[in-house]
This record gives sequence, C-alpha cells and structure tokens, in this order.
Amino acid sequence: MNYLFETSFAFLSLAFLFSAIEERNNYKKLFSKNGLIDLDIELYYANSSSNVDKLLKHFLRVIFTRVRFDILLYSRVVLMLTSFLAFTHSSPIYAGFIIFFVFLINIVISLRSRYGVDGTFHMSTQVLATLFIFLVLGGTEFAILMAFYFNVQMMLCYFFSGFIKIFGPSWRNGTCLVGIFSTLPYGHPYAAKIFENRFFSFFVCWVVILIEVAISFSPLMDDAFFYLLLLSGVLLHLSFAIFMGLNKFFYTWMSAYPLWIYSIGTLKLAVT
Amino acid sequence: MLMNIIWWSSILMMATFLTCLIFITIRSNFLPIWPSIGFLSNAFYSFFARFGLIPIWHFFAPNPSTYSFWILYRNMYQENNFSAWQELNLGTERNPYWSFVYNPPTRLNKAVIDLAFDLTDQKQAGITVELSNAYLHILRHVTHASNDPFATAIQFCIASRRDKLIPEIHFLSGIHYRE
Repeated sequence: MNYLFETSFAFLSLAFLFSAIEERNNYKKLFSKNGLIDLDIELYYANSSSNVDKLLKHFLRVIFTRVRFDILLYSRVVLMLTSFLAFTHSSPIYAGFIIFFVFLINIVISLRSRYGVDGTFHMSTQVLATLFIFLVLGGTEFAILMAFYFNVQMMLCYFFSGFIKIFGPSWRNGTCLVGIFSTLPYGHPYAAKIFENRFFSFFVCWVVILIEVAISFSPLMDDAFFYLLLLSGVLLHLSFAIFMGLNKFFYTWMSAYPLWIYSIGTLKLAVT
Repeated sequence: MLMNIIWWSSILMMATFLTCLIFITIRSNFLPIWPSIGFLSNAFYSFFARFGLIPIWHFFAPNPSTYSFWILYRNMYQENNFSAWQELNLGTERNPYWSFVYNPPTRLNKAVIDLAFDLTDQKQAGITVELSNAYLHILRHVTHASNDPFATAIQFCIASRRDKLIPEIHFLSGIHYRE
C-alpha cells in the first residue's frame, strides 16, 4: 500500500511546487504594497472584537511580508519532500508530523486573502489532514474514522459538483460551455469553436454531470466499476487541465485518488 | 482503565468533530440552490469558514461564470473633464498553451472574478458597496495606478464581456475626490 501514499506525496508536492512558482509570479500585482489585494484592508475587515483576533491579526501582519510569504510557499514544497523521504525511510510518524506542519502552513497562506482561492486549497487541506491521521495513527480507530470522513468528502465533492449543475439552466440545455470556453481565465479558442455545435455541447454537459454524479457513488459499486469511474475522473481532470488551464486541480485531485483507494480499503478491512 | 477512557473519549470527540464538518460541508454546498438551509449555528459555521475549512465543491455550478472581466479607471480633472477609460494593467490574459502544466495567471484572474462578483452580490443584497472589502481594494489600487498629479478625482468600473459580444459595464463606481 506504500505506493498509494508515495503517489499522493508526489502529486501534492507537484501541486505545491507549481502553486509556489505561480503565486510568486503574481505577488507583485496581487500582494505587493501597491498590489490589488491590500493586507491592511483584509485585516481591517477581519472580525476584531476578541483578543484572539487581535493576536491573529498581529501574527498575519508579521508573517505576510514578501520574503516570509515566499518562505511559507516554498517551505510547503520542501516539507512535503522531507516528509516523503521520512516515509520512504520507514518513519511514517515523523512524516505525519511534518505533514501536519504543511497543513498549518497551507491554512496560514490561505489567510492572506480569500480572493483567488480555489478548490485546490480545499482539497489539499482534506488530503493533508487525512495523510496526517493515516501516517501518525495508522491502524487505529482514528484512522478508520478518518478513512470514513475522507471517503464521504470525496463522495460529496463529486456529488455536489455534478448535482448542483443540474439546477443551472445553461448546464441543462448545454449552452454554458461556449460561454466558459470564451472567457479569458478558463477559455480555449478551439474548444469554444467546437462547443458552438449545440448538440455536441449539450451532450458533453450531460456527460460531465453524469460522470461526476456516478463517481460520487462509485465506492458503493464493485471494484471494476469503481476503478473505471476513477479512470474517467482522471480523464475528466486531465481535460479540465488541458482546455481550462486548471493545472493544480489535476495535481491535487490526483493526490486525493490514491488516498481514496486506501480509505476504501481501510473501511472494507474494518468492516470484515 | 484511565487510558482506555481517554482513548475512547478522544475517538468520540474526533467522530463528533468530523460529523460536524460533514454537515457543514453539506449545508454550504446546498446554499446556491437552497439559500434558506440552516441546521448549524452561524457562529459555528463562520469559525470554520474563516480558516477555509469548509470545502466548496460545486465548481462552475449552478450558473458558471461566462464573463471575462477587466478593471478600468478614469481621472477627473477640473471642470468635470474626464480622461478616457484606461485598463488596469493586471496582466489578465488568455491561458498560455502550456497552462495544463504551469499556469501563472490563474490566481490573478480568479481574484478579479471574485472581486467583480463580490461587488455585484453586495450591491444586489443592498449592502453599502462603497464600504466593502472588494470596493476598497480596487479603489486603492486604481488610485495608486493613475498617479496623475493634475487629477482631482477618480472613478473605476469593471467591464465584462460575455461570449463574443461587445463588452459592457458590469459595475460602475462613484467619483472619489483626491485630497
């Protein structure tokens, strides 16, 4: 089962590495003294009634200088690799505690601003918390609880992703894809042209919805269906990365899949 | 015996905590289609939300953003003369072809989208938008970007373009006089 953890480590390290380089690239325009998102405004609007909040504000003001922000970004990558090495050298408990630090750093980084934070942060937080419990308390009731929680979160992730789309008229009639692929941030000129075909666009919209909802129920199916649906999930995320530029979604979700397989294995073992 | 009690009570606490997180996740993900849903206190919810511990899984749903956004500003000079609208150079651009591996503009682009929707959501909710976080961020940024000593006031807008249609004004700010 070690290869599952190793794959998860590898993909999450990649996600953090590219996130660090990309955030650093945007720092001047986004977070510098004259950037778009000002720290003072962010902290002013944080709740300031309690002493804990004041302490938190002071801490964030100290930590969010350019150099320290860079250190936080890259320390995530370095600590992930350190944890990976500790894991491969038969020290899962040390690896787990290092992962816990990465988890904390991940949350601190997200406190800089909620603007621009996407689903990769939520998924990486889930993966890190699960890795921590699996590595430090593996084989105990805590690990079984965490396996159950992670499994439910993965199911909810795909369920809501697919189910809520049904309530969008543009998803139901298949017109949204031209719009999405015509935007600058998530666009792709060739894809936008292809989805001008209404029938094809309608077909793809419903394929996406059905695959996402089906993946959410995949742990309840037998192994062959489960792995088939996971494979379709991989292809779906790969297409999101290629056509929409959602590269970190791909890395982060690929780090979650091995843990999902491990979680289901743990739950099956616990039941038997 | 004591160790056993501590062990099992820790497991119980963790089970309670994780169950709460699952309920919060369900609640917050149902919000777009069921705004009145509420089976946990707001204080409890906001504690988790503040640290980003509530996963939002309904990506691009129910109504995906089909807009591209640009932030523009113009200076006002004496006698109510306005300069032409100028685009804020944020580098919001189409994804490069290698974006499936490495995609630097993502965060910046997403931040501009979040700011634009924050402004319109607050305006629709009847909140004084001029005091909102998003408004102040943009106003501060354009004030610095314009850097024109002869300007007496500044105004910004968020332009949006849907599909291949002509860009339109998504949000127009008030006129803000310089000191």
